[in-house]
Amino acid sequence: MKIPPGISQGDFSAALDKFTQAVGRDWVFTSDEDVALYRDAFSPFMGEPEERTASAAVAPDTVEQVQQIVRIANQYKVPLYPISTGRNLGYGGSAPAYSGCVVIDLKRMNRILEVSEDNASCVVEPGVSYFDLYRHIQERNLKVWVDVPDPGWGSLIGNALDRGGGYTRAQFRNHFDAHCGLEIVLPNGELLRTGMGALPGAKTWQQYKSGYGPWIDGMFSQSNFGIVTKMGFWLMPEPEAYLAGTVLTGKRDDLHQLVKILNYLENSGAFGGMPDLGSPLLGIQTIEEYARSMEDTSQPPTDPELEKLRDRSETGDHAALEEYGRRKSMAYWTCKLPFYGPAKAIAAQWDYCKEKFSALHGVKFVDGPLYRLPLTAEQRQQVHWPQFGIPTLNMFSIGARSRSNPEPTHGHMWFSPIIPRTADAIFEANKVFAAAAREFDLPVLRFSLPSCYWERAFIFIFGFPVTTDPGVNKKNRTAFYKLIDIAAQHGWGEYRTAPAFQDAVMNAYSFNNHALRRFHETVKDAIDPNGILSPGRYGIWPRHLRQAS
Amino acid sequence: MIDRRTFVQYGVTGLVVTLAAGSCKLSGGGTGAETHLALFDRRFAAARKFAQTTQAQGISIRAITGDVTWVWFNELHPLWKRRPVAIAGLTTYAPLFCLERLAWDHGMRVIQRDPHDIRATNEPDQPLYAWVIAPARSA
Repeated sequence: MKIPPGISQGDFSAALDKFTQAVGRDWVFTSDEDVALYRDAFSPFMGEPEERTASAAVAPDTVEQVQQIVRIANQYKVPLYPISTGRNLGYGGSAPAYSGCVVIDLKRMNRILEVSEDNASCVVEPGVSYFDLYRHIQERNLKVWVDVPDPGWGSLIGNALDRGGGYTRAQFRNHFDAHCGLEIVLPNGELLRTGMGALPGAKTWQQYKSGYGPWIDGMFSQSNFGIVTKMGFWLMPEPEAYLAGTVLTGKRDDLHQLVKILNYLENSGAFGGMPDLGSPLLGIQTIEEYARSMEDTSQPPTDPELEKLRDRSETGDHAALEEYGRRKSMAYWTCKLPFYGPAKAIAAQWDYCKEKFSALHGVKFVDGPLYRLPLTAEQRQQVHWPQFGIPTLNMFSIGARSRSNPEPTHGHMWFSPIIPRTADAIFEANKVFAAAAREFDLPVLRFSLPSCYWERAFIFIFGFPVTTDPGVNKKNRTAFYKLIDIAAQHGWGEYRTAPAFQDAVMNAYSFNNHALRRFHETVKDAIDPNGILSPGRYGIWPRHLRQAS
Repeated sequence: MIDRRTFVQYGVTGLVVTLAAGSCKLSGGGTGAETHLALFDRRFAAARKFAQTTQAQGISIRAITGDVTWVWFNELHPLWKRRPVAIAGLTTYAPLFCLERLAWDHGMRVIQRDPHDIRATNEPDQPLYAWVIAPARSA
């Protein structure tokens, strides 16, 4: 059995005995076979001594048991690492940031405490997955949607606390922003409720977010300041209809105006769904096209002439590619706009968007199908499920062998910098990251387009493969660290990352001699003086481990 | 989620997907465990052949197209919440990866995981895996 660093065998055994008294012997896991289930399936240190692994796991069923575990851990100084469902693969999974932690597995706390159709909200425990809530809603025929990430097997609370995102309307697809009220077990075992939940007998915990006084909810996301045991979310009322319209333009330089108009329309609420950029001429699929293509094992080969023109475009000759597009009726850029709402209203919204995009010379539009909701079984087979609040596991085909991916990968780690919402930023980031990829011997993509999960900013999401070859993983880790630095030099920071890179990303947020990190550490030392809760998570280390390092 | 701690041995020692000469079939399963169904990826001839032979043995089959979501959500998850039941399959890596992790929460383990030599059947796109997920047996 692994023992947490700095803890004696006697103390660890005593702590495990007390954990057992708190939760029952069936729910304390110490065998190698059981503990191995908490390894990060996509660890970039897979099979190497540096791989971060747990010493044991304990699975409480109630808030009171969580409080007991935390108090016992304080008594013996045993580090803990709470997970909701531990399925945040690509950004960490269920393995701790600090090897030797005891994982608190919250999967048994899987109660859906409330779903209100009238308030379009819910309250859930951390073990509730998107699939669980979707099933609950479907079985009761409730007219609300849950915004799901891709994949949807994880926890609502876990994903929101990691500040994950989804695919429906803007105010729901930022999962942390969509929350309303937290219940937290603090590192000393005390129970805290935020927002209106701090008012005993409050009738508005899931109706008014900020309560009174400093709004501290954000401190419990991407942090190690507490264990969230309940969380409220605002849900999306099931819309009457869905419509997607696509804007198509023919010139490379159109991207500047396209993005500018897109931003204006989104910021002014002319459409609500997640815009999706693509480029048929450059061979860049939209997210929806990409998700659907993963099921297709027989993708047609690309026209050799187009391949040559794409290569020439890389060296600055875009005119020939644009001419090819005119000849073959192939757009340079596409932008899909999803609309949710009353059929009449969204048709009018799309008309208004077309009017604004008509400022682009030669622009064309494709009216997508209008779906009356809920979808029929046949319609469901034609759409990207997460855009309709339907969870899926389809994304796990991402590393599969295909014509464009001849060597299947074991997993992936996401490099996800946030960049400005401008075409200039897209072009600059492509130059910077392509140069870095060449320098560090990574596969160089011709051109990449960012995603629009968040309003006001773009996000690039690059998948670094995790393989079974430690040499390849080491090379990719080295490149990943370098890319964090290169991005920071250009003013771009990652929105989220796996434990292996959390210190490096935190170091990049260094304004005024790391004032932000020092503030985190001040809070950490004040509320968790023994440093028992998730040491190192998101680059926040307790005092004794900062001194040790 | 059931108690993993009390399970130390696998309960379906006889159940195996037999690979031979580029084809595979399900056999065994005679130690008290019920084989509920077999999954196959309809895109691959080898998997379709496996489904035929499995169905002929009286075992229910379910077709997928790379993604296991619908079978898991509608059938396996409700079933496994009631009791752990063995399943087998000939699929690509992704469905097996997902089902393995989902099965852990129900006290199940992958007890067979064999790459199937698809080159023998002239299907170059993706490697297939013959697999069995079964309940672990109480000590």
